Amino acid sequence: MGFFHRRVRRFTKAESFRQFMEGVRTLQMYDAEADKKEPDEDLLNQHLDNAEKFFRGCVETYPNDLLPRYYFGIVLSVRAQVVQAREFRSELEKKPEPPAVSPERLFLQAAKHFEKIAQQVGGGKDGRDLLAFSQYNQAQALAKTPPIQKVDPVKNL
Amino acid sequence: MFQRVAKLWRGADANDDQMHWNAAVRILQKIDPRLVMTRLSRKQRFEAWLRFKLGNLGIRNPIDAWLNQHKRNSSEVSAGVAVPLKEKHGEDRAFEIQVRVLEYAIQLRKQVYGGRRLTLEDLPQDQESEKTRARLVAKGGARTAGIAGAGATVRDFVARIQEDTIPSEAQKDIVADYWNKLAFISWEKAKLEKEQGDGPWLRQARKYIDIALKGRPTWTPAQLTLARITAAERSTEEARKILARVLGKKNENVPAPALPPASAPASDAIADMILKMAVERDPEAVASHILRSYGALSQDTVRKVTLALAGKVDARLLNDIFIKVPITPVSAPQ
Repeated sequence: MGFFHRRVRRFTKAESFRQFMEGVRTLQMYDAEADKKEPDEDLLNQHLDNAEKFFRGCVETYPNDLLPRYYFGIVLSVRAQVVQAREFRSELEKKPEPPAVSPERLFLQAAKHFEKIAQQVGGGKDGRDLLAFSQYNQAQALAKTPPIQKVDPVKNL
Repeated sequence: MFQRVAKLWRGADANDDQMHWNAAVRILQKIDPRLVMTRLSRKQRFEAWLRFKLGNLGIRNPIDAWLNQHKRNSSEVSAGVAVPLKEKHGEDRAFEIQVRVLEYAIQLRKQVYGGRRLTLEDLPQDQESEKTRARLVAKGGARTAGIAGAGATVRDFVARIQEDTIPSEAQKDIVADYWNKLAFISWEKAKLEKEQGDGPWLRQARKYIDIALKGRPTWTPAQLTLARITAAERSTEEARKILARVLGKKNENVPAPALPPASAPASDAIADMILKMAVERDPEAVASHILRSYGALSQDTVRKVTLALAGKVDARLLNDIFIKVPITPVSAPQ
């Protein structure tokens, strides 16, 4: 299988690299806004949406490029955390809003992307680092899911 | 077929309700497989070896089942995942401790939901008592391998971290991550125990989150835990303020940001047009079309079109097209 492994910094096309860089730049803008004492909710949402769009586009069009997929996994984990916080806010405001997508699903999607990187990544120091970080992030995403409820066989009868 | 075999292997005590967490533990142990083996008995090591061989023959499910079934006992979990860390320095060591902290947190969470008894006495009390405990372990373990010896645990490593070789920013990350995880687990336990307003688990959670936020006051995951604890303490308004720091505040006066310029329509449309007409290799005709449709181009637009077409269109043809299109030095409206 080693033959099919990818180099970490390799991009299939210039367009993939361009989209990836735009995504990273937008994610940095998100971070900068989130670090402010009073961040603006619309700006945060806009930056996260844009970052997700760039990385998603990259992953869908160039599925073999590893770095965009890694960052897409990170964006999905951040999004899951945001959805959790929103759900909690609605709970406090007693205005329950069903989320478009559950945080658990986002965490599981993120874990899938990290798992795929771990399968695709090649050797070298960069490769080893990305493999370890992807595995850690995959475990982190899985660990953040809620406990799965046990099915009661008596009730199910 | 193999799933059935796996079920038999697991026996009656299987813990399927935590399967994502079990998967997470398996992944963490894979990051450095040697760490998994160090604390197993001779018999367990032999069994693991046997199952590894079975795994090579394609029987993976029984291995997974066995790993799921290998549960640490309560004292192992509450003491911290008792796995010695390798002698390493700096960033590598920091990463390895983070891996072990996560494994420790998962094991604790499994204990909280698994029905096995987790008491407050099993968990760290505060930073000072943990440092004292770690020093005692270090002294006692000197006969083996000091703080990195078999007696040392994640709790000891985190307590002694400031005397370690890890860079200070990484130290802060690990300390915040560790205490935040403990705070979250204590909050979860308080919820299961139906503590409201005040209670021993909630008080412990508050103690932990205060330590976590000392080094990283704006760190989002800790802010979210803080909001949860604060709400459980019945300070709903305060919890909402904390959530506003995480999610941001609505501000009607600030216009929403435009998309980054790279996705602006003109450069994309021009690139698309060039791509479609490139087959005719007529730079003059393409330049005329661009000029008629878009007028003079900005340097910015030319740069983006060039970048978008790199590798797709012959560089000489692209050059011939842009020579014939007037270029303005400042950004033209797109």
